[in-house]
Amino acid sequence: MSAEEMVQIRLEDRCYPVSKRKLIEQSDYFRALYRSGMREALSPEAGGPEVQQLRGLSAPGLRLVLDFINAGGAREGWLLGRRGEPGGGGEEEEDMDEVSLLSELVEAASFLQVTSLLRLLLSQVRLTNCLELYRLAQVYGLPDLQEACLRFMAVHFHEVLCKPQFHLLGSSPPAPGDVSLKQRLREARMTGTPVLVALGDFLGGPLAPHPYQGEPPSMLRYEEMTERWFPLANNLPPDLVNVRGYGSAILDNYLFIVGGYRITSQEISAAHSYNPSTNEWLQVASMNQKRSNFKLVAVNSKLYAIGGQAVSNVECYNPEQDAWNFMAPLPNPLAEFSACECQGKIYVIGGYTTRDRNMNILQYCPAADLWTLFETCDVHIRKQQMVSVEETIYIVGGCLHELGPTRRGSQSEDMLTVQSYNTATRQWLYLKENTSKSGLNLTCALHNDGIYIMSRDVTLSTSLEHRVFLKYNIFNDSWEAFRRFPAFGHNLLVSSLYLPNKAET
Amino acid sequence: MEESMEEEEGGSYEAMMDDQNHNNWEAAVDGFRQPPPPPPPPSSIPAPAREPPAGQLLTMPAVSVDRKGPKEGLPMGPPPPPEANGVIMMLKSCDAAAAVAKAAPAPTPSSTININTSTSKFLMNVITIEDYKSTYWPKLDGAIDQLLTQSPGDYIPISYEQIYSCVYKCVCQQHSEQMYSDLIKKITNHLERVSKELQASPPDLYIERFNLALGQYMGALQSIVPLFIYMNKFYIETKLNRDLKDDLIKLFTEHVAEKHIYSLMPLLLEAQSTPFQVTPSTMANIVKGLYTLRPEVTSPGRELGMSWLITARQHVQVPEGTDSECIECALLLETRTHWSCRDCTQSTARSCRHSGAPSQSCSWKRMLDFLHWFVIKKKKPNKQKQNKKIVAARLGDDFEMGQSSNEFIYRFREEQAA
Repeated sequence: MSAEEMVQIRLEDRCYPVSKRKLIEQSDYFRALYRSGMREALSPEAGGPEVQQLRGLSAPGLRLVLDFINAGGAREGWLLGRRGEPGGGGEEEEDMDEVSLLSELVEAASFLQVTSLLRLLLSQVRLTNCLELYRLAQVYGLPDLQEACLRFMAVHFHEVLCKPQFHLLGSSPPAPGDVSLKQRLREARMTGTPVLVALGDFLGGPLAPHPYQGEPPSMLRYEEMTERWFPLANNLPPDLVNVRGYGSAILDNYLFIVGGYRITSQEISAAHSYNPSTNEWLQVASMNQKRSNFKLVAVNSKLYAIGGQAVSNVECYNPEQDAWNFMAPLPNPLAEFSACECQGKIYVIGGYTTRDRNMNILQYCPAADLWTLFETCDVHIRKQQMVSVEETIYIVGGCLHELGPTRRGSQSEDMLTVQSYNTATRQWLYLKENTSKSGLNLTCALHNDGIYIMSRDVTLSTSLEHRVFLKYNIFNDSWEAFRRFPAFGHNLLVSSLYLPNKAET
Repeated sequence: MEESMEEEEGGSYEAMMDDQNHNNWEAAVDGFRQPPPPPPPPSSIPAPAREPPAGQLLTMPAVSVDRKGPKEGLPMGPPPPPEANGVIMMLKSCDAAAAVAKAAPAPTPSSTININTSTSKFLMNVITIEDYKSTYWPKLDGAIDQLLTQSPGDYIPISYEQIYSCVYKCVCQQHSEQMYSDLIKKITNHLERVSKELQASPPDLYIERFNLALGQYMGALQSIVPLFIYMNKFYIETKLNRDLKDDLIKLFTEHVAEKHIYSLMPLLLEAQSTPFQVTPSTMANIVKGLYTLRPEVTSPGRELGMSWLITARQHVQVPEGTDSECIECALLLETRTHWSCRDCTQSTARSCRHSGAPSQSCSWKRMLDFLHWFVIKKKKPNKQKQNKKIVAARLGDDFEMGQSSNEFIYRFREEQAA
């Protein structure tokens, strides 16, 4: 080993000795150099140079790469830069160094074409370096690294999106016909398996469909093949336990739970998002206004928190800034109303104003930041849920009260109905009813080809008979009932999320 | 500091692309101007001293967002109207929040990114297409010229590091496409010139000159390909799904070999009939070279050709006079035992006087097969097509091997001339 031929590499005024064998092994630059037969390929005796001169690289970057080469390539547990003990935080100066060192390292590794080192970078993508690595991968033409960064950024989309650097990356216009980075990541998030997820303050105990060990889980997923519920490997953050009247919406495959009130009847403004890709909850910026019993609606990659208990203002959350801004308020504060997005607009239907029934359908245009009266209807509805498919809004449950001459029997006021409202033709359709069920206390989600509805009527003592798990198929207008209700519990929320394809453990 | 940061921000956002809603710019700025952003960790305000004084500073104040920070209880009224000093406001609120962030359980590490690429000396100066044309390509052009025209084995005074760096810079500055097309154009021109020179050579020098041209080109590729490995790896392989060496070899096939194979093969055959007119090593080199030109060879072409090559090599290795019979058998067409190739192929073992060594007529047949394969293999829908078809037919199974090879060669040449 001692007889190994060493090569002196000079950069600026410093020389770095490296084993020639390892150099040829690891660096395509030197392999090609020695094969080229050019000036530097000759030994010093044959008129070649004494040292291999390099120019333009940075010394720290070169040193890292040569250390890597001298160590004989990839080692177990090789980590990018200096990484102290986890959670140690590290000093500010070191972090700064680490990032600038990164670009110097990638440059030197690209220049010298140390492919094993470049390959190793794929497993080193972090939230702190993904944007920089992505940019470097573009600059130095490293498609694998670019792919790895894209995957990582799709998984941590909102965390990446709100970095100021993200917008700078987008500043170089993509090639014609190419979609923007943001759009690519957004599309990448909508992959995986759509799965029905239920959240709630579930109770354990022998009567529960699954005898869970220890604490009952607060998040369950539904497996359609076996018609069974399984706990997700994560639970609601402690902050959210026993919060009622919150707003929930799905944005970029993140489930947002915002505001609400605690049992102690304090209203809150906190916002959390669940990321199914990482199976993690994140706390995001809080609303400016504490609110409960309001509606949270996702439109055009933003969230809108509409109204609330005695509140008429509207706030918009933009994940790019992780901040809430006030928008045009509702004309009146509303209670027991509902809202949903439909073709880029928000529709608010039903409930009560401070002095009367709300018979108006309000439409909000996010681009104009304007509320308009869309239509006045002759049926009063409250406490319903709303979802939309193309131009059709489905109104699920709620309490109906018809004022016109064609009024139905009074039983319609408390049963589970599905109606549709076409925003293009402004036509109401009474689709389906399920007389044995109450439509007042339900949660529903659009999932695959239907609206999945879960209802639990708390007013009756024989609660078992009034727990319902139903699907309304919107294509053939039919009911389908499922046997397995997730668990006993309160405060149920059902939603549909894309879970990663790999088997959940 | 505040002023300079404001400038940076404005500049960078102006450069930013708008999204389809045309609200990106406004939204982004509003985000800084309206309610206070969540408290960033203290490390998030970059030290401007680190930034080089270049004019195209893009570095943003890295307000890395601590998403775990305590955020409840920040009741805010309606947002203040946008102000010119919004950024300053933001900074102040950052300072105020910094104290809070210190108390946060786990401050996220800073995520400053040098979006300006100016830490790299290579990329500090933007290479415009004009720079490329006036400075960088001429440098490469000169080096390539030198490599193409020197003899194999010559000392190459060019510095690998310098030319490689030049290629590297051009690739990183997005000039790969231009550089690749320039390279191909340059080499094509060179090969066309080589081809013309070959055409003008007298028949007695033709084989030697072809061999020289082939050897010189292959020798030059030994250096040119390594010089362009960066472009190969990061442009040709990834974007075009091709390989530079293959591309350059194909150029020789197209512009030299295919144009001369019709003249070359008869001459090679003729040379065989005249002892030592062409050295066996030249012969072997040419055949070997022709094989390099067809890397996608599959059997039977390869088998035929390789065996011919092996034969040729055997001949080279045989020292003159040691086995006169073998040399005679292999090289001297006059001593052929039977001329009909059909017979020969039907009973190779019996017809050769040396059971181990192939007879000259066998190798001759193989050579024709090789030519056959070389010509047929390439399908080119141009005016040469018809001509090739005739040749192919002549060389195919239906070809009657006439009474003498000279007759064939004569006819072959006639067709060429026509």
